[in-house]
Amino acid sequence: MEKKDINSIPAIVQETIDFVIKKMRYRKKVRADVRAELEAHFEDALADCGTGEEQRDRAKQLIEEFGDGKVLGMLIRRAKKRCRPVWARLMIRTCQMAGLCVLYFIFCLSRLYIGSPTIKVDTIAQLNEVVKQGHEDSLNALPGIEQAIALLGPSPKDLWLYPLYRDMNDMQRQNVETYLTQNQSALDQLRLAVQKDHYWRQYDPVPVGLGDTGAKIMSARRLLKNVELSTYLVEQVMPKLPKYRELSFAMKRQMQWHCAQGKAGPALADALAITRLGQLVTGKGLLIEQLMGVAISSLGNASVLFVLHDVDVNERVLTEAYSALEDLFEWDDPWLDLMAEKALVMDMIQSGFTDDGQGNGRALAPAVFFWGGFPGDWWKNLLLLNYPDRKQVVEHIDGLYEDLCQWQTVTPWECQNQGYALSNTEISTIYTEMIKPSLERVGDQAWRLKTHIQATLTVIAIKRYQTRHGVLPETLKALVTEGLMKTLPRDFYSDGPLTYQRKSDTDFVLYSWGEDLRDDGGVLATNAKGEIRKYGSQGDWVFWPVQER
Amino acid sequence: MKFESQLLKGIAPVVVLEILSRGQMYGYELCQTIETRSNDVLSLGKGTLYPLLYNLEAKKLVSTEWQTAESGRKRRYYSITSKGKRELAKQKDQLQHLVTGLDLIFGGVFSLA
Repeated sequence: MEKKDINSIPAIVQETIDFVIKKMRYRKKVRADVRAELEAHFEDALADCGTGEEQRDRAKQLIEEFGDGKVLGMLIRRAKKRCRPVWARLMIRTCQMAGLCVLYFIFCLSRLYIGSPTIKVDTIAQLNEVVKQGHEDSLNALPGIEQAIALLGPSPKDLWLYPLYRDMNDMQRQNVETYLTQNQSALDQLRLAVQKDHYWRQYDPVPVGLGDTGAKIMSARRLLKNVELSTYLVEQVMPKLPKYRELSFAMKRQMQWHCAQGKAGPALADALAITRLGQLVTGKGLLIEQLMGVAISSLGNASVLFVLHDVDVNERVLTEAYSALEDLFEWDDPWLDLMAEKALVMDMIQSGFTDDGQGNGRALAPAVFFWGGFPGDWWKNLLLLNYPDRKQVVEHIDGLYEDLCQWQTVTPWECQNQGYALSNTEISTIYTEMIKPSLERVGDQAWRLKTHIQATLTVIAIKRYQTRHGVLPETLKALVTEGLMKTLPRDFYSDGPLTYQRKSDTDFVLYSWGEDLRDDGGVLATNAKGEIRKYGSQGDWVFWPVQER
Repeated sequence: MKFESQLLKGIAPVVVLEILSRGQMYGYELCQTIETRSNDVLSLGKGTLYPLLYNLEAKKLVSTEWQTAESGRKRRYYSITSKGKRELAKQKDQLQHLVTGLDLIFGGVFSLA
């Protein structure tokens, strides 16, 4: 229908109509209608013309009467648009609004992808300095520990499921003895390694080619396909951690074997070696390493208590063990070092901001994701272009880590009674919400270990008292009076010392109030299902008598 | 004397509706009729006619229909709607008032005409 009967009207008219239709810029069907109507108009107007010349003259006159073709096309288009039904107009307006929204959203997002960060700090090099703390390489326990790991041979199948040595059958005992004999060099190496004063890991730099530091790291980021630096470092460490666990369990088997032989001194030395290994690994590295260190320390403490429970230990050995254990830990300092974690966050910041704009840098996509608000605020801030700048985020992180250090010094009891919780700190971003659960978990582990060590020291002191006097002390104060302990052992889950119950001249119970922060009279802790668990959420954490597992 | 200026633009819709109120017409015919009925005094510019008709259609004052004439030529016919008739009556009433007002000012010139 668009080109109708074009031969019946002069070419000049056809050109004019084509021009008008072209300038209409409207739907094809409407254009065809208008074209047909205009052609009909000209046909009617030219119908009476006799000759071709007369027709051409008349056509020129008509075209002049029509005026400017461009204006006509525009006027027709405008009028035709008004002819659209309401639903069509509504739909078009809705689509236009949606389109505008999409465009605005793209505009908002595009700001987050324009520009690139300037990497100025080599975080891994910085991290390596932080963990090393300027110590001589000869003081590092890590090479010796890794040598012990390398020497450790494979264990018999299901070794870790075997019962205590005294409860094993002949075949199991044979397996354990063979395993310990074969791995004696690894265990000796571990004993030697843990005598070192420090432990630090030097993290491998990201694989790069030549170039200056910033370019190196940027090219490494591309190589890593935008994987976060922390993930890259954790992947360096993670495969090694199970070996630490295996080494600790091997030493624990050795300790049990020594107990079975009645060799209290070597057994305690084995247990303390495990504790020392844990304390060293806790170090100042990544949080995942520190968590592993706390777990190994806890295993060592449990082993010390096991030895004290299983064999008679003379006062000299007890005194040495007490002294060794007491010196292992700095009680006044936070046990977890968050400097490495903070360095990684600062690396996220430097790779998430440009160097231009107000506040020392404009946020790019990763920065907006992590620090753009949580979670409803995130969208609001994104659409209002209300992104935090680098300065604000750095201040936020500084404040957060200051709070975290402070939080570590507040006991669970104080947290509960003073209403102090990690969630009370400035939690307003996806980043803080992401790290909170893991930090809370690690914090819990640290307080449990502290309580465990207090209990272990107390049991050693009680045993020393018993060795001296032949009976148990009436109260824990007697230990302080006797000079066996400097102060009463703290229960971080109550407002007083650990709870001591003297049952007879030879029997006693020592426990912490545990996670429920309530004295349940020494009832063994259970989990939510009612199953007995060392650190269950209900009941008390009973350290003595030792629950054999 | 022909009116092709702004003066005509204001009353053009009323004129078209008035013509259409007497029967359906196609564009060219409407043009011719206006000129004939007004003794060539009123002449609707061709460039104005079709946008005007489409605007009246958008306002639902006229309706359209394609028809094939006896000659075989297809034409688009316009006819006034009931809404158009109401609008026409209203506009005519207003015009009447306008003429009355003008008459008073010009001393009965329009009544005499």
